[in-house]
Amino acid sequence: MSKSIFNSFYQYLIENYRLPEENQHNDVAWPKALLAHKQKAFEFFKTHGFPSTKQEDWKYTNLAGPLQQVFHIPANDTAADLKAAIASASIKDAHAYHIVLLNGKWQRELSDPLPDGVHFLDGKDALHHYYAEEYFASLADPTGVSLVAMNTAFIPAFNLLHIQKSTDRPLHIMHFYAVNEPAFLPERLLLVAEEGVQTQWIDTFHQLTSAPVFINYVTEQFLKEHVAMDIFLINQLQPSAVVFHHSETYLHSQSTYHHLNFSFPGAGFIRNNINARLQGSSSEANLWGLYLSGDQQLVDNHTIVDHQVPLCNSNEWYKGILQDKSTGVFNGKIFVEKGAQKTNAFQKNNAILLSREATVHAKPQLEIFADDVKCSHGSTVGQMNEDALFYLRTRGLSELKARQLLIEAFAYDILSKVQNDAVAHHVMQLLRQHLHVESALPAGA
Amino acid sequence: MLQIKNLQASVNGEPILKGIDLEVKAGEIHAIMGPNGSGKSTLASVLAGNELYEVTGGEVWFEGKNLLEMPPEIRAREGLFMAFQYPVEIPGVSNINFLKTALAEIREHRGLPPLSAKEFMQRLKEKQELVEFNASLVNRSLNEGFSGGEKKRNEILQLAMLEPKLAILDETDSGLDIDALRIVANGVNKLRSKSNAFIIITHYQRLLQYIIPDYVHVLYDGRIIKSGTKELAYELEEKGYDWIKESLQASLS
Repeated sequence: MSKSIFNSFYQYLIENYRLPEENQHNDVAWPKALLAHKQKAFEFFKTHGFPSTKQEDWKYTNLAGPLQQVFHIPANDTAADLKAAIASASIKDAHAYHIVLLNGKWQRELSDPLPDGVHFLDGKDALHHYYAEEYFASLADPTGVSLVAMNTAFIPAFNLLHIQKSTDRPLHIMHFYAVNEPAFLPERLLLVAEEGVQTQWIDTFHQLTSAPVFINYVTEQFLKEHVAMDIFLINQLQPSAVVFHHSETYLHSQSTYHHLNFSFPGAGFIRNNINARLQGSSSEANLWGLYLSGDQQLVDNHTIVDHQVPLCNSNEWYKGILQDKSTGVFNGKIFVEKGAQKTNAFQKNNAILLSREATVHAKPQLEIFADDVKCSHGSTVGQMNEDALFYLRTRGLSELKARQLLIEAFAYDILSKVQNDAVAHHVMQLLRQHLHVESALPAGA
Repeated sequence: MLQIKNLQASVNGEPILKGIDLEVKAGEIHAIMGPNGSGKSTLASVLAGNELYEVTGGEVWFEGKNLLEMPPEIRAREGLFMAFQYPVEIPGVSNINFLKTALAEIREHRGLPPLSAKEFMQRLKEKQELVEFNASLVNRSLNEGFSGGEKKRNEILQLAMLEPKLAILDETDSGLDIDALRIVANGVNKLRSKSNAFIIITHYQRLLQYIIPDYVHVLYDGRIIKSGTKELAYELEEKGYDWIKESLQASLS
């Protein structure tokens, strides 16, 4: 078996690839320097194709099934009524600035005016921004992930979020997807937060149509000195969605980063690569994740915390609640590079299986090349605590109520990291909505 | 209130209870004593409805209803309470929300309206004082990081809040220092009334110096081999369980 998959979708992509300047449907002219990235990325993807399970990072995550059909590059935009969709996607009491995207394209007229010092740019404004040449493809592409190369090669343009001032309210990017036939939707964001900025960014995903979509969403975040940023990633897609998300963050000195990753049943296939590179001293990266999976869903979270300089801290805690025939994959890499002394790096992951047919694969991976460091990791997989369940029932709680309470308690460890009450409440509501405790009861109960 | 008739139970196929007969009336306190491994905690667990124990024979009637047919939560709502020997720590479940939920479920079952937030807090404050339970513990996760004594006092706090008809205290005295023991005993003494009853399971006689039982039963090898009044507890303390075993063997031969 080959390390790569070269299937009919791959063939379709290779045959239909056009560099933007040759593309009749695209009037966005890419600067030459950026085109070079695209060209290079295309060659990389052409050589490497899709990763097969022969590759260590894809061992339990088989793309052959989800990508067996051909997802077309949409020729035209699909019309969608976004007004109602925005209302239902907005998070109650979050008072966020809404930035609305349809199939990756900014819907300026439906988005909120942004506060002073926050700029969302698309099309040629993004392509010709002074940060584009400096940062675009400089962080994600060197990782050598072929799906990232695929993204760089195929995006018609990208969005740029430039934050120069702290925000009083969170920014909420709503990603809507509407297609009439199976579609490949590559999407890209470049984010630069200037020195001293404090902000929260909510990133949510919604399908408006039922046709299959393959979403390939790559983000590169540059956090300069003293930035404090929280990212809340909330995936609410449908079974017909195949999602690849690669998030690459550069942390400059004294910056603090909380990445909270939530997913629910759900997109049929989710693969997240959440990577944080601690490149400035005294910076801190926190990766928190909670997934509730169901049906035949596959939820794969691969994370990298890369300590490149001394005196940085990182904390990571991923928790999974698996229902039905779903599969969870967790891989947490911590690199402490030579010279990154006085590093504190902690990692935990726990999964609870609510069904006999659910599976979880968890792998912590620590590679430490400095000697004066504190690192730890812990991993557990279990069922519901029967003693706790019995205890609650002897106090009059029904079995259903007791199970619900215990699952919420399990989730609480991660929910308590959300420094935004409205978002925490919203996520708890989604958890309650998608949790079906009845099915967790043993057969015959 | 409670009638146990020839109750037999096993764990993993091994018989533990081999025919228990016991009757508890309202207003009474029964102490069940016995050496380790005699089946005391099994009896408590079977009465509370722990499914790890298989009832292989006999009957248990609670207020005229067949207790063994009820799931644990219905037993609780009907008025049965067990204070655990080892209360479970449940991180993430707040003590106070848990109490609120439990009380609401029990009151609903009894046809009582839910307490208002104010009534609940008032009642909680009152009962907390009864067991000298630190207010900060109430706001913490259920039993998480509690000391042994705090866990036991939390059990008695729950007992006080839920107002059961019959409370079973499973080795509540184990692991308690003398002050905690007195607090727990005082709590129970204040809660006892003509309309409720207690079964106190203990290895030692010392708790019974504070909570005076009406009856004392000795459990040995899955059977009650001797019953008497509080004097039996003193006699046991003095002579040890070997005395009972010997007198049992003597009567058999």
